[in-house]
Amino acid sequence: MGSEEIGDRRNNSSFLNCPSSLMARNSISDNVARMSMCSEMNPFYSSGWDTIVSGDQTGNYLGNSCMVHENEFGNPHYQVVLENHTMGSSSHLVHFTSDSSLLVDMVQKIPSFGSGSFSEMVSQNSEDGALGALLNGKRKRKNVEEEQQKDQTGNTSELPKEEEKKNVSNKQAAKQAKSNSNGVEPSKEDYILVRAKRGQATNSHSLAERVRREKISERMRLLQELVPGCNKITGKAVMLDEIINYVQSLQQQVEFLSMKLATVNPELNVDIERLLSKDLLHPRGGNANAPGISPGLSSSHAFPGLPHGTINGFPGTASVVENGDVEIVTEIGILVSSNQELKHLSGITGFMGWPAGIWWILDVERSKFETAPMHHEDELVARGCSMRA
Amino acid sequence: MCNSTMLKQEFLKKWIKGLHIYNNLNKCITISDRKKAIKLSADVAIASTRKATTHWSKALMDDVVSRDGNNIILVQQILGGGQNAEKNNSGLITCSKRILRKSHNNIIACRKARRRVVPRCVKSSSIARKLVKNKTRMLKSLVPGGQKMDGNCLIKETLDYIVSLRVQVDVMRRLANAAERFDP
Repeated sequence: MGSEEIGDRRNNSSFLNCPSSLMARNSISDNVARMSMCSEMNPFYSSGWDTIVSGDQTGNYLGNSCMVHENEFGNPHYQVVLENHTMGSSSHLVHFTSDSSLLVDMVQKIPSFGSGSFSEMVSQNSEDGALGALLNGKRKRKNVEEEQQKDQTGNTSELPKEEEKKNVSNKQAAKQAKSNSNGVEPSKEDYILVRAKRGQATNSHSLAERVRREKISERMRLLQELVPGCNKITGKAVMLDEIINYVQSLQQQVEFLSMKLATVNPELNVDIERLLSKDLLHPRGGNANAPGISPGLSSSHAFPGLPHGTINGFPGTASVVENGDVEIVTEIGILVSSNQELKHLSGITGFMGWPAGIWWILDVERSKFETAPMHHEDELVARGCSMRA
Repeated sequence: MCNSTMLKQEFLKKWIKGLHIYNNLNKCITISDRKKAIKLSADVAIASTRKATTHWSKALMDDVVSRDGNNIILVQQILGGGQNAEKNNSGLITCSKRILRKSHNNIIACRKARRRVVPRCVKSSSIARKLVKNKTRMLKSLVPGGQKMDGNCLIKETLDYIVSLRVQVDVMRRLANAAERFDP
């Protein structure tokens, strides 16, 4: 045993450089894989290298692991082994996670090795509560993935990524302290806790950038639902194009409608208004209006499309305010009659006397208010409000 | 559920108020005047439904006030009641200040960048980015108050603005249809 140890130490010094340079190129997974290989040679592992293993220097540790390889397989084999590891790292990882407690101890001593995906905690001020919750939800989802792999280790602290291996010893303590204090509950603080997925940069700037991008994409998705015909569009430029077109068309519609309203001839409405004020104000019941109104209305000829039965709930008359006339609203009757204030407002005459029976006539109009798109819009409005909050 | 309907009712309420005011003023004689009055009161009404919680509504109100002094202030006061109090909303002000600062910094940075000679590259990513930039610029010109917003805020505001525009168009269209019925 003694001679072996001496031999190993000599090899240690000579091969230390080799693995460290290789380390720089290979990912941690390879190391982990190598560790898994090490575990198969348990006797060497547990006895000889504990002192070195417990040290903080990862380079040494890796050197040791490589050395074990070397002792077992010889130099050329070592290279081959490394290559194999690079190819099949993921499979080795699986082995790693299901391995014995020995490896668990290893991991705990050298926290630079993770069991699966690597992550880093970044704190940021959250602007939107809703989005913060969303991201926390994402964090929790990622948490689940990681938990499965971390079960054996029992260590829930966050682990730095392979690129920052060199700074591990310095930053580790701080990060672990932060993550340990945060625990698994992100919702307590104001921060948006983000996890970097495997293969992504963990620079705080890039993480912040990613959060911002996620926010934007979330909102773009909402916009997609709002703008008709944008379900299949992927891509910011095309989506923005559609949004611009939609906003432009809506604004043009407003212009057009205001022009149309401006050209409404108010004179006809005066007669109707007089009729209405006479007939509608008196009876307040539903069907009682029918006999009263119909003779008056038939003279106006203003309702070409209305069947006789609908006169009962005469949809109302419309006039435009411009020349001092009473303003009346027709299909907007639902809006008006369901809101007391509106009734007061719009009624110099007219609305206040509207019978309750008007609803069944305006069912067609009402359906316009209560169709699915409206619900959808409500939902979007609500979501938009919550996002604004 | 009733949110959309309530919005429409609120808008209609305020719009009618505005129209009454214009009517009492008796200033609208020509059709174009009438049209302007209608549109103005509709804009003020829809902006006031948001009660200054969004940037576009505030910008719209400011726009209306700056366009034509007296009448509009009158309308605004009557329609808005507590609208002038909106400026005391410190939360929004700090938020908007932050955004202004950000956008201001961006503008300065852009100016500095432009001074440096940038070699033209034909990478697809840069083309895509240019396209997106042009389009966001266009969108900023469309949404009231958009010039002072950064990308993130712009999309949020656009969302809200689109919803409000839809409400406005819907109510106006119904009124126009109603008016049409009595004016064959």
